[in-house]
Amino acid sequence: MIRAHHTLTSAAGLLITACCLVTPATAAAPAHPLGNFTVNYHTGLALHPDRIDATVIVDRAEIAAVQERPRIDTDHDGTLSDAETVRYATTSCAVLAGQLRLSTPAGPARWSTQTARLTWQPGEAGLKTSRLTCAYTTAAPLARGGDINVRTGYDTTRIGWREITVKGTGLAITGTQLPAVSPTNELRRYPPDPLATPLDQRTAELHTTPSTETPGTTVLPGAPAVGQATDRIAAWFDSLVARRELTIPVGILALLLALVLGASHALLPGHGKTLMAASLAGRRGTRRDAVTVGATVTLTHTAGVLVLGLALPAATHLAGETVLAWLGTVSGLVITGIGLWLLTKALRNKPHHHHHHHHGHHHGPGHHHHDHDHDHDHEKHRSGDEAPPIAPVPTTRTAPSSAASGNTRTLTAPAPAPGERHDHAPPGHAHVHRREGRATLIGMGIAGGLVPSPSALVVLLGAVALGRTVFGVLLVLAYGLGMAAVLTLAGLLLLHVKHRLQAVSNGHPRARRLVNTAARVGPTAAALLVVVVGIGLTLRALAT
Amino acid sequence: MHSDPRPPARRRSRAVAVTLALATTLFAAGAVLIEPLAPDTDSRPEAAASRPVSTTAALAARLRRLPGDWNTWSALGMAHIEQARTTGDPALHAKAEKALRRSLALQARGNSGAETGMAALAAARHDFATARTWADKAVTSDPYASAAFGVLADAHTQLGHYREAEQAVQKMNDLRPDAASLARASYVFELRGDTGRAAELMRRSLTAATTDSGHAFARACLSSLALEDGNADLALKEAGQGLRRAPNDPALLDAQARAHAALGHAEQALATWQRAADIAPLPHLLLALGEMHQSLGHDEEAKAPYALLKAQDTLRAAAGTPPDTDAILFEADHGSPERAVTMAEQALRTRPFVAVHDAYAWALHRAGRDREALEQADRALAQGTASPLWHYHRAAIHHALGNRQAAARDLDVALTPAPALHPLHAAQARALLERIGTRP
Repeated sequence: MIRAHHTLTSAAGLLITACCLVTPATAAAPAHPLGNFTVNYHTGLALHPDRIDATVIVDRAEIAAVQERPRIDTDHDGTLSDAETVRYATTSCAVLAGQLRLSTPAGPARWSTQTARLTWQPGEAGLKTSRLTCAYTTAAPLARGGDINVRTGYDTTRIGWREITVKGTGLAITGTQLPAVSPTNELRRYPPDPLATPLDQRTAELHTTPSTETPGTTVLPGAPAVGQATDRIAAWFDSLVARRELTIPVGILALLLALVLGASHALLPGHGKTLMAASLAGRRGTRRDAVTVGATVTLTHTAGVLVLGLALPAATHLAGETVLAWLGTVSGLVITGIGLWLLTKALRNKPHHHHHHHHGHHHGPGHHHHDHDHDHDHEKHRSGDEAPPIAPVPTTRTAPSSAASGNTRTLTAPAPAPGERHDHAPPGHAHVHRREGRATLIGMGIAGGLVPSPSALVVLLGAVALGRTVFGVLLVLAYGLGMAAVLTLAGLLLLHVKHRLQAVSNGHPRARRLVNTAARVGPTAAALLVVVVGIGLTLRALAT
Repeated sequence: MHSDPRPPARRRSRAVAVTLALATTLFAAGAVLIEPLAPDTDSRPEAAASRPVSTTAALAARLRRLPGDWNTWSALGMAHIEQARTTGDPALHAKAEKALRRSLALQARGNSGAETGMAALAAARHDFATARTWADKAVTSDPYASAAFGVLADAHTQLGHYREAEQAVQKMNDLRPDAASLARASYVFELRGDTGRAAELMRRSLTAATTDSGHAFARACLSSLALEDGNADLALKEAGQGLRRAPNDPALLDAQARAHAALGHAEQALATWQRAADIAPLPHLLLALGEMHQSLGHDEEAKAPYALLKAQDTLRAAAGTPPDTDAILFEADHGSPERAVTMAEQALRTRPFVAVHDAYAWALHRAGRDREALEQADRALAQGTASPLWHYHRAAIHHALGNRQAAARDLDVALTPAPALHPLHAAQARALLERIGTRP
């Protein structure tokens, strides 16, 4: 979808200067809409069960009409007499009849001329345009249907409009795209917009079938005949595949592709984002956390690509690679910082793990009451001694929990299913965790999405170059969503594995001890990993 | 996995379904987004030059789908200008302008492609001051656009700024020594009268040409340069080789006809000019055809091309555009010399180019104003141009002023590459030489 647009603008064939001291004479008014030199042909076919009627119209623009005059003015007296005009029209129509070749089921059409008429219309600057109208007919047994092959061999040394129309009376026409009605009102009105290049229809293949309708009804080609349904579906698919225009299916497919691209980008080896998000989401342990990381990455990434992509063309001297390297460094440093912070926190809060684990077991009649107290205590603690908003401190734990339930035996009770436990996590508890965790998570998400991936950038710039900025933004958004989906999935997967391990270990004391150890070491290890990834990303960004 | 109560078989089938769906999406997306890139090759400018009609059609089809693609709009405008050049149909300029204006409306700043197109369009309409303004803009927008320097060079040349034109041509060749750049470099030397160097550069342009139209252009110029060098056989050969590749190119047919005329093949020359005029009734073809008929004494046959020339001038006058040199020379020789003088003065206001000075000189001479005519003829030849026709014109002016020696000198230059003059003028030049008497 990206086009090297400079190849379009470089215009290698630009040879405006003529050689040999002569510049091309190009000084006249645009009189004829298609050009003063053009010779335009209309061929109208009317198919009947027993015959084919044809009308050939030749429209000559001002200069072409003047050029034709000597061929009309056979006695060279400078005026066109009626006899000369009639003679010219008759001979011209005879020549055109030989150039309009139709093969019908009964063999090649042999035209008999019915009318031949030459008329003049006023044109630009007092000049005239000429219009030759020839009407022919030929017998053709089309009552039982058959194929018709149309070939026009008119003089094509001049540029001009060449159209063919076909309509059936008392029979149906299939297998052609030819219109039934002339798009130019038989060469009287040409499309005025600059996109209208001369139509150049010179040949056609038709198929006729006996009409089931009463004779006299015109069946327009393109009317939904029975055989056309499959043709249409095939044509639709062809057009879908062959065009680069933005239809809804193509747009949706492009968006899906961008989604897949983003997902695969997140999975790329050496990509720190996956690891980072996984360790984070795994450590924190709620689905919402994983989603938070994903959403942040999407937003940051989309914003980053948009800012960079829309700023780049404005300041072309600012090399894109430099910006990417800078952002890479910043992102790496942010990740390292977060990792270091997590590390200190993990080291400081080792006992917290136990608390956390313990809480999960309070699941019973006293559940509600306990939650309330717990939450309250935490709030008090936070506002009280202004400690950094880390996990609940062990000292505040024992009093309320024992006071509320007084049930110490629950410690040995089997843990509830991990998913269930988190779903039923005390709202206050989760709230505190989230609030303090969210800053970390969002920081990670920002760091992860900060460096716009070059492929997303290319997608956006390509769309802008094609004049589809809005669609480009949508594509980048889809790309970010794909990335986020993979990151979130990785987090959820890790979560799932962790919970499963816990669930399995519950039955085996030794395994549980192992899991407990792992869970105790986990945050520290994860924080270390984040630091390592951060440093790695920073170094890589600096190296490039 | 207790959180997933589904049996493994069902999960596996779901995974397979997901994989298949993903694969289908990828293939479909690939088919839609990747496959259509192939036809892009059609819309490259190389193709634009060789098949103008189908290329404008391809570009227009693309724009119908992507109406915001300003690069394609400017490419379409450029293709229309190129088409107007090869077909000689000025009506296409209006379409070109619409396309280029559209491109500029979509991207007003830094749109070097559209600015180059506007410059080329103005140049094609012989409004060279405007062409220069646009070309300056295009060069500012993209200082690496060789095409922009090309139109800048064209504008400077036609405005009589020959030094600036040479600098622009040099820059264009530095940026991109392609067929178009080399052809312009050749033209610089041709204007200075160095036909040898001009032919050498034009041959390099021919080698560099990648398109049929580029080939045709270079061959036509080579044929013309050979004729100016007095080598009519080579001129015929060059034109013939060009026509083998582009059998309907009016410029090549013109070159072939001139070579035939120089070799005395009057009938072939007539037939070839007639064919060229049938394809594109360009004024210089019509003038050459008419004068060939005249030189053979067929005054009746000359009427048709002259009537066509008059019709074109009527259209031109109605549009208010300045006349071209062919129209001025035609009016001077076959119409009213006074009117030719007025036309030349109008042309000179926007285009103080050597060829226009020559046409003005000839119009003044025909109107009997030989003193002014000589000043113009001297200006026409001030660059050292080796045009036999211009030298013949100045010889006639010198002769009218009674300066036989100067007249004989100019006639010598005009007739030395014996066949280079049009038969009608060659006959007149020889008659003049006889009247002057022996060469000094």
